[in-house]
Amino acid sequence: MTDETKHDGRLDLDALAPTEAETERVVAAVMARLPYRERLETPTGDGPPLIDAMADLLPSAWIAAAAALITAGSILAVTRGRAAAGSDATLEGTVASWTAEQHVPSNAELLATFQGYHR
Amino acid sequence: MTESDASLVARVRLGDAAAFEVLMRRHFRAAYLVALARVGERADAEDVCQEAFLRSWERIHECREPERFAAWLVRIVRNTALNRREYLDVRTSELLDDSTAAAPSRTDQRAETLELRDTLQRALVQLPVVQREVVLMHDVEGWQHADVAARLGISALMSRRHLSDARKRLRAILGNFATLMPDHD
Repeated sequence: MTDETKHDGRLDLDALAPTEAETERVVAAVMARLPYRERLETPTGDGPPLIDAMADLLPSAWIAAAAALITAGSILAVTRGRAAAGSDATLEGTVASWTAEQHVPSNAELLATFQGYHR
Repeated sequence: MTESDASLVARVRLGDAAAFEVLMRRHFRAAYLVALARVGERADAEDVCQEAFLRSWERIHECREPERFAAWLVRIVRNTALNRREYLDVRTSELLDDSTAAAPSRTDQRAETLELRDTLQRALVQLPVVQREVVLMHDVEGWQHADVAARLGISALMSRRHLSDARKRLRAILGNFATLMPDHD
């Protein structure tokens, strides 16, 4: 125990070192108490850089997406309105020509002219 | 290849618990011995280590020199142990009173080991705290005086002096008990 090495008078106090069981007990207890999941899921200014960067980007990303949706909706409405107006003029012209020529349209001509049964 | 403390600390800062476990296992022995030197009781040393490691996780961003994580951890362990001592004054005085009492009788080899440990522990608590820390770090953990000095915030010269005093005192306390111990040569 008080074995002293021949060179430096070192005392043999190894019996005081932690046992494997003590080591495992503490390591397991600490690992069980680490709040790492919370830290990863609720980023703060101290969080991982990537998650913090994503958190910073989120508000501007939402604003950009909303603006894009509004713009796309407006363009679609205008385009469909123009298309509908053009289609009505064509329809009236075709029907007028059939009347003037006393032409009886076939089913196929009717379907093509009226673009289905919905109009 | 062993990953450096600095690299592990960088991973811990990103929330890597596995990296923290590696650091903890690597430095547990030193942390435990420092805690034991301060509180004198093994169960209390375990509690101190547990609390100190949790603190180090929470404050890892305060570790300014990741390559010197061990020294930073030792400071946390010492502070944690210091706080715990305030709750242990009564128990410590009881331990010192019992230091001259005979150890419980045990028969098998494990019992002998436990008895040796108890005896060393009772001898150790009779030293000043700084001497306990120096002798445990140097003689058990194998640190050089420069490392001991850096971790304890003392000069290398004082580390040598404390070690010399601690050894003399332990030999005097243990006295004849040493002749009953197993031969380690």
